[in-house]
Amino acid sequence: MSSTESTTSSRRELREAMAAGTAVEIDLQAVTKQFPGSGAPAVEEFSLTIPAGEIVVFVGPSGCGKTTTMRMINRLVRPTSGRILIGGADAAKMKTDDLRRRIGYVVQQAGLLPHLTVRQNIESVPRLLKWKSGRIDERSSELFELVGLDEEEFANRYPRELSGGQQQRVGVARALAADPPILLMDEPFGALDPITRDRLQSELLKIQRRVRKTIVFVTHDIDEAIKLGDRVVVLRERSRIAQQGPPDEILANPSDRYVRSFIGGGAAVKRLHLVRVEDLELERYPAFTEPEGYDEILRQLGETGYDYALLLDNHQRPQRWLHRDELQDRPGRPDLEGQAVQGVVMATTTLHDAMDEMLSSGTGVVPAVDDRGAYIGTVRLDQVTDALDEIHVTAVAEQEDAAPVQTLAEITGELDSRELQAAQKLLDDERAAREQAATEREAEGA
Amino acid sequence: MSGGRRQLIITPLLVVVALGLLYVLIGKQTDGIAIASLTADENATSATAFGSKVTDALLQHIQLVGISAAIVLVVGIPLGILLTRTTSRVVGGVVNGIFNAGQAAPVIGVLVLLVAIFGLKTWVPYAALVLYAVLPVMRNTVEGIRNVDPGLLDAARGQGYSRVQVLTRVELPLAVPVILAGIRTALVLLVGTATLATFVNAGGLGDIVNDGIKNQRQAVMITGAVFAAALAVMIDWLAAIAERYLSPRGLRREGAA
Repeated sequence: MSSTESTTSSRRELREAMAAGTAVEIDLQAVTKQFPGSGAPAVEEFSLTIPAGEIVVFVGPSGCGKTTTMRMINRLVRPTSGRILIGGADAAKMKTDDLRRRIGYVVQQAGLLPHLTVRQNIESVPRLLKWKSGRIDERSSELFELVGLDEEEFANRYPRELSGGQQQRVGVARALAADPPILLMDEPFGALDPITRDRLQSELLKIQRRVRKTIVFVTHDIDEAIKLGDRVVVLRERSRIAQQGPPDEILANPSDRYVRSFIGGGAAVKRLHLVRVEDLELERYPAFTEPEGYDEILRQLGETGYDYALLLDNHQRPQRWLHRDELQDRPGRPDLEGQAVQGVVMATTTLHDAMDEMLSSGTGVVPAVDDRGAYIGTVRLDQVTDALDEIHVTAVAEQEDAAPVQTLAEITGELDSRELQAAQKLLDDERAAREQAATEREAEGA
Repeated sequence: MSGGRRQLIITPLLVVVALGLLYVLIGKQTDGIAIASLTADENATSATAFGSKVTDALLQHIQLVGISAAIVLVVGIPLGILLTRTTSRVVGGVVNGIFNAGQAAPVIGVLVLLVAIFGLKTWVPYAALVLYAVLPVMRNTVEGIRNVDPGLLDAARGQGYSRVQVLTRVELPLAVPVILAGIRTALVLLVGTATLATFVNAGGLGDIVNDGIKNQRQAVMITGAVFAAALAVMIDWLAAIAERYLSPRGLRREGAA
C-alpha cells in the first residue's frame, strides 16, 4: 500500500493480482464525492479498509450515500477527492473499462440485457476480455453449476422468460464470469420475495466459501447485513460510518442511539442469523435406505435410545420419519409408512431460518443436509433455543446498558403453542390421507 | 398475436384483388388517349392497367422511394445517435427545428423553391423527399435510444462495456423496434410524396395521375392512384415483416418461436 510505488509497477501488480482471481484488499482513503450543484457532499471523507476475501456490508437508510460509496470503487462515480487502492494500486490510474471488467458488478433487478440469452449474458465479460471460445464454454458450464441453474434448460432462454430469482442467479453468474477478485453487489436481492431472497442469500454464502472474493454488499436491510456480512458498516448521512465491525459485535454493542434504532427490536432473535446449523453439534437419528434390514435399524434404535429412524432415498436424501413401532411391524413398503419429511435445512442455513423451517413444517426436529441434499444429521428445536440462551447471556454480559431483549421464555412459549398446533394438524392430515388411501385400495380390490 | 399474423396474409391478398379488378376494368377502355397514356405500344387497341408507361412509372417511383429511403437511413440514424450523445439543448433544438420545419412545409412548396433556386437538377426531388422523410427516422432513433432502461446502461458500464460497446451492443439493439417503426413511417410517407415528383419532371406514378387529370381520363387517373396506393400498402407490409423479424428475439412479445 505504499504510495511511493511507481505507477507502472503498481499497475502491473494490480493487473497480475486481479487476473489471478485471488481476492484483493480494497482501501478507501478519505474518499469524498461532491455532486455538482448539491450543497452537502454525498460522501464525506470516507475511509475504510476492506480485507481480502471478506464480505463487507454497507448498510444504512436510503440516500445515505452507501451506493455512491460503492460505485466509486469501480469508478461508475468518480471521487471528488481521496484515493481508492485496490490490491495496493491506485484504481484511478488504471484504464476504467479494464478495471470494471475485473470487478464483478451485481445490481438490483439483475440488469440482464433483454436481447441476449442467458448464456450470452453470462459470457459477456469473458468476451469483452477476448477469451478463447473453449475457455468461455468451460467457464460458463462451471458458472451454471455454481449458481444452481441447469445449463441445458436455461442457457438459451431470454431473461424475460425467467423469474426474478433466476434472473438474479444469472446476474451473479455474469458478475463472476471472468473470475474477478472483487464483487460489488448493489441491493441485489432487494426486489425479490422474502423466500427467494432468503434462499439466494444462503446460496451467496455457499458460493463465497468456494470462490472467496472480496465482496462489497450494499443493503438497507439490517437483517440481510447481519446474515451476510463478515463485517457490517452502518452508515449515516453523507456516508459517515456510525459503527463498523463483526455483526455480533454491532448487535451486542450498538455504539449509539442511531445504530440501536437502526438495528431495531428483537436483537436476540436477529443474532440467530449469526449461528449456522453446521456450528451446532448435530445429532444423528439412525437412518437407513430401503434395502437395509429392519433388524439392523431396530438394533440401532435400541442402542441409541431414539424412537424414530429416518428413511433415506438412494441419494441419501431424507424421505420419511418412521417410528419404532412401525418398523417392528416390518412394513413391506416403508416409503408409505410414517411421516413424510416436511422440510430440511442446509449446513449453511442460519439458526434463524432453521427455526423458521421447524415452525412451518410443524416438527421440533428437522434433518440437515449437505450441498447435494444428503443427510448429515438433525437439528432439534431445543438446540436452537439453547443457542439463543447462550447468545442472550453473552449479550447481557457484553453490554452494560443492555437494550431490552426478548426473553427466552417469551420466544419458546410462542414456539411451543404454535409448534403443537402445527404438529397436531400435520398428524390429522396424515391420518386422513392414510385412511383415504386405504378406502381407495379397498374400493379397487372390490 | 394471431391477429397480426392474419394481417400479414390478408394485406397482399387485398392488393392482388385490387390490381386484378383494376386490370379487368381498365381492359374495357378503348379510348385512344387513355390507351396512349398507359402504354407506349402504338398498335394497342385496348387499354391495359399494366401497360409499359405504367410499369416504367412504377419502377421510377420505386427508384425515387428506394434512393431517398437509403439516404434517409444514412442521414437519419446517425443524426439521431448524435443527438443522444449531446446534452446540449441548443444543438438538439436547432436540428429538431430544421427537420420539423422540413416536415411541416408542404413538399410541393419545397420542391418548387429548390427548383427555383437550383434549376431542374436530378437531385432536387431526392433532396425534397429526404428532407421530408428524415424526421420520423431521426426522432424514433432518439426515442428508441432514450427509452433504454438507464439501469441496463449502468449495469453494462459496470461490466466494463466501453461507451462505443454500450451503444452498439446495448442501446442500438434495444432501440431497433422503435427505429424500425420510424423507418416504416418514413417509407409510407415517401411513397405518397414521391407522386409529387412529377411536377419537377422526375417521373414516378405521379406522371400517370397527372396525365389522367390533364386529359380528363378517369381510368388513367385511377390506374396511377391505385398503383401508388398498392405500392404504399405493400411497402408498409414489407416493413411490418421486417419489424417482426429484425427485432431482437428476446424483446418479442411472443414466446421463443
